[in-house]
Amino acid sequence: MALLKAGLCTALNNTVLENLRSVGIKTTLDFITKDLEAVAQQASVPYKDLLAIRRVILAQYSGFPLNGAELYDNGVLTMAILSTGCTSIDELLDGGLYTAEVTEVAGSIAAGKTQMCFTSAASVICKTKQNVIFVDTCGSFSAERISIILEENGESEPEQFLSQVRCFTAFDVYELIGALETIRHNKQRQMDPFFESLKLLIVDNVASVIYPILGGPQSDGQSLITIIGQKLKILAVEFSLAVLITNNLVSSEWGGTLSASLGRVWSHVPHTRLVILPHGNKHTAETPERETRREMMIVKSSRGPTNKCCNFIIASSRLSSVR
Amino acid sequence: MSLSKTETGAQFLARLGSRPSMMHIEPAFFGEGLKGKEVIELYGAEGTGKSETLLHFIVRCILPKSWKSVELSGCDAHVIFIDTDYKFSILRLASLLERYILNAVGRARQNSDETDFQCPGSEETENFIKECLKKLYIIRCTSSTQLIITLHSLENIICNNPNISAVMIDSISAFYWIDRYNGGESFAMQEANMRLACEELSKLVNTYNITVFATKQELFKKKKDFERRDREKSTVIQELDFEHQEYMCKSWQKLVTGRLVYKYVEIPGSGRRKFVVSAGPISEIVTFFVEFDEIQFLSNNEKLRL
Repeated sequence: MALLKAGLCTALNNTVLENLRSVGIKTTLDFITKDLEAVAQQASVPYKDLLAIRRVILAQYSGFPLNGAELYDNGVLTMAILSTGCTSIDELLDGGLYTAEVTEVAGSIAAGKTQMCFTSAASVICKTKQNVIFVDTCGSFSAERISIILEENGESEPEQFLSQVRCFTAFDVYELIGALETIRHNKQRQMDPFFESLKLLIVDNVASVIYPILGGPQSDGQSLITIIGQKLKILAVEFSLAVLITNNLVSSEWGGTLSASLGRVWSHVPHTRLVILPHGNKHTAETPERETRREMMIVKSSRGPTNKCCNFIIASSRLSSVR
Repeated sequence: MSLSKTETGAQFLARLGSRPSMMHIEPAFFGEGLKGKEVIELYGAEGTGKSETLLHFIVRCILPKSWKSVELSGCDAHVIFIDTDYKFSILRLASLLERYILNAVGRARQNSDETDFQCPGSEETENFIKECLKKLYIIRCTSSTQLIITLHSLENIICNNPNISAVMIDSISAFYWIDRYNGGESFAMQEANMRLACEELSKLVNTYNITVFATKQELFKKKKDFERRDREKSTVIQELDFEHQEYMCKSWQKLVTGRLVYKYVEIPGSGRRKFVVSAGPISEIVTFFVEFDEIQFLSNNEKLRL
């Protein structure tokens, strides 16, 4: 909510502002929702001036209507699909991680969530030649592991790619909001060339900063969840970023199936949700010792069919599809 | 002292002029059609097909009645789409349009006896899709105050464009928790912003004969006893519970004239979802699949079978 300030337009000078304050109009919202004819009489400000002020406020503070055809042309130009570095997961996602979308991976402990983040990051920096930001909320980031993945992908000098990844640490929810704001600010300012070619934003793990704020007054926790969800989606849509977040699995209220944590309000945030199924992780006779098989299922999608599954292997350091 | 209301010429014409009818937006949902001045709420949990239905409504709105002798049965209306959830994808809408048009062309070719039926080329179709997309305006809002100011600014847009018949909001409950938190202890403060938005919305609906479609997320759930909990995972439509839990402010409740409640059932074995929509306690249940990028309604006798 913005305060009315002198200088917003020529008609809004200090005397007009004082007059408006005297009838209880302090913010732009107060101004817009009042009947101007009544205000003109009470505050003795010319009706014409009030109309001019109203026009400026409407232009500055309302959402700007975009025409569908223009948005389409723009969408075709900026849209990109980033490979996760694992063919079977790419197929499940209909090509990979889409820009302007939030993709969530939920899985229990050691299911391969962070591995998937590293594999996707490595694929984006070396194949797509774009930059990656990793927001680390639980100390999981490791440049070493990314460089090992790059090496396994056949890069002889993995170190040269690592400047394309930046890591932000955020150990509580306010730091996470701060980090997201910093990214937005830098994207808008267009001063730092790193942010120009930023295409992938990873938050690993979003649940670990949200758990501590749940359990207090209900509206505190839920509103912070809404704000984080909103900020992630705004970053994704406005700057055409692919956003990849990880979440934990919890069993639902009365037992039964496992589902992504953080509850109802959060459930509306991601565009696409993947779950790494717990029963997929067993060593079988034919898999080599250092490989672990996992099964992934797509449980929500705003684009395609759900409930499809795929298999992948966690081999020494990265994910790969089942051969 | 009450002042007589002044009105500009544009407002007068916009109020009296006729806008494209929303009568036949989707017979499967609204059998007798929408009369106008209606506010339809689409209510459901995540992934139950609310936004998908809105996209389907946009397609039906912005397409003309027919194109090159192909029956499209659209409303030929302009639409304002307010995206508060940041989930709207224009590319997805374009592919839905394309699918819809291609299906209609296919049907037209089957029905025509003459062999000289001309299939529109792909370039022609793409230009037509772009032409249709021009009838859509997308506005993104990041806060409830911005939503209010945006709704006020719509009046001008609606006055100047006599073809706008519908405003869609996805979703009306997006700022619910933020408003609750900002409102502090008092209920009146928590609901203040939503009330102002509803006032303005009601003005648009009643003065300019606009139809509003808004999704509302299922943010709360009734505490249920065990017997009812078991039903929650039911795969049989008859056992689904189309209960609706209201949590929005009074002024929104008063505004709503129709409600669609969304649920889905998993089809055993196939991994597919069947979406089930109830349009009220008395009326019938509508079921659909989302397949090949398009909503496919099931006919009456297919409905209750799985």
